Amino acid sequence: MRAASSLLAEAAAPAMAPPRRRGAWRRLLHNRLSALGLGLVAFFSVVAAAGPHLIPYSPVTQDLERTLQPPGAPHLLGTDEFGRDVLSRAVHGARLTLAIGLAVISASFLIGFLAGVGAAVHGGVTDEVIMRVMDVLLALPGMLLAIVVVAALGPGTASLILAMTVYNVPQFARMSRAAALGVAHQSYIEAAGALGASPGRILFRHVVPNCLGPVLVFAMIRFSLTLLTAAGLSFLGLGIQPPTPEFGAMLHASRAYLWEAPHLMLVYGGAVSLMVLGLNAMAEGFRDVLDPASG
Amino acid sequence: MIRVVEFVARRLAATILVLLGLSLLVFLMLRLVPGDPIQVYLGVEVADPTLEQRLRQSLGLDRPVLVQYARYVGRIVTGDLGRSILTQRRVGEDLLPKALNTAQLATVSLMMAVTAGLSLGTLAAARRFTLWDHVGLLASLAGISLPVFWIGLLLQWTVSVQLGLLPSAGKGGLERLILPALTLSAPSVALISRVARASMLEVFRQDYIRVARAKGLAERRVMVRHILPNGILPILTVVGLQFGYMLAGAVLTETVFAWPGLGRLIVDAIKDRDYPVVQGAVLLVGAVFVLLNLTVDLIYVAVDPRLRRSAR
Repeated sequence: MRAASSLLAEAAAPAMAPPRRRGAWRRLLHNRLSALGLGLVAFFSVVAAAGPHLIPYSPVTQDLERTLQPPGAPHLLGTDEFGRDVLSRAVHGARLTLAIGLAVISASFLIGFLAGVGAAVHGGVTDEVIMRVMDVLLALPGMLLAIVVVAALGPGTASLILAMTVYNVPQFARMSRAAALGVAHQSYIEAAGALGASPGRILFRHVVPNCLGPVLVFAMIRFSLTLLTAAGLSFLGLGIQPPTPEFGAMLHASRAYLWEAPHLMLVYGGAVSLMVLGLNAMAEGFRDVLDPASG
Repeated sequence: MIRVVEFVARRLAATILVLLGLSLLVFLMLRLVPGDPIQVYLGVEVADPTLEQRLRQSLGLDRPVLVQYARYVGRIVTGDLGRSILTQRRVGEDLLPKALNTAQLATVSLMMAVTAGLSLGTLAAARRFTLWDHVGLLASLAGISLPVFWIGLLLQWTVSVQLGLLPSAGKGGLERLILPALTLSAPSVALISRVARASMLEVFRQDYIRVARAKGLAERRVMVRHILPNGILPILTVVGLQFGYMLAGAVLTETVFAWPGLGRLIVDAIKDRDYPVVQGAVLLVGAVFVLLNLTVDLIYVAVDPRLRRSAR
């Protein structure tokens, strides 16, 4: 699915291309799609950060006299099969989902970026070995890799995070390597070398900052895919376990109440979809600003 | 011609390397499981030390890990995937019927995705910058953003629960195939339509299209004879990849619609700690995925005459 979003961007770019030569933020806001994405992401970030302190209901307290209540007062979005407040569970779910996504992407970004840039800079045998290992991991569908890790370590939050890191690292490594190689042959790198800059200085002052842009856009797309995979694995019962409020697990439970209480499925599914949609739309906009070459 | 041979040879070598890596991964998976391999393998604790020793020897677990791996690869190559801990039947026997069910679902989904994706993508390209095009972009953004299993639940809720049109789950008959196939195809429709749009736009710009129009061909004929055949080629790669992702990603759709496929088998086996079945199924899905990619690459070289001359 890596190709999915980049192709989407390619296709979208001509139709939505923002006027150039403006401030980056103004350009981002000018592009309707990325403004929508930014808005959604900001909304969910605020909800995840502040929401749990604003809602008077706990996400896990049961009220067996008020189960499967439709949206209304006093429970704004109704209650689930154990009488738990749906809004509170959704807000805590958003918080957990974003936290897991951040953990996975920061870890994968760090490891993958170092491995990829390292391979590009060192070249030779190091490059060969690192990239052949990554090739094997990249040749398999991410879902399958995640399942292998979960199968070995058993279902749970920790193995979920590890599983998704394992399949994200090679993605970041390949992307960073390509970005670093692209930069390494530029004449300003040669110039820095000719001026007597040390390899370390060239790497951190010139190579890293210049290949960070495309990798950042890539990180946003991987973030959205990670949210989808995390929800998927939990939906299968291989990730986060009930009663922890997590969208995939809650959607799995909501299946039994499609007839009596469809609001469970609609709220949880809608929430996770909007989060992913926001990230994808934001990535489209950032690509135009950070990575003008690919537009 | 030499270049083609070299390309094919390199591609084959890379595939073998990846398959070996896959087998190593699946082999190591069992080593990573916390606890003694013998316990993991048998699913029960062995109390008698002499019996344990005998079992260890008969399973080859007393040998060095490398020897164990070599033997494992040897067994896989001869088609021996071991026995299920749960059912005691050969893993291959358990896998085959489920794999066929998944293949059926994925094949129908792929046909739907190609039909819908090609039509929508071509339409968006032909009516560029119109409402069609913008709606298409938003729809494909939604297609890659909504969780597949939520799309399935929405279809179940609207079509089965609200309208009562189609059965909501299970296998058997066309009416039970439509909803899962539709669900599984959704992300691929999004992707294929975008690739198709980009590819068609590329072809629109070519000189031979201008020539075709200049010599007075009907627009319909230009589309069918010149644009479509040339625009379809890049889509081929995506379609092949999508089929692989469908096989691997079918597990979510299979769970929503209680479709008895390979994905369900893997998830159930993980929960039952039936490791030989998990290993066998992961190997099968992974190998099919890798071989599909190889096939697509080879077809690509065979179909595109430009590549035959300048293959990397």
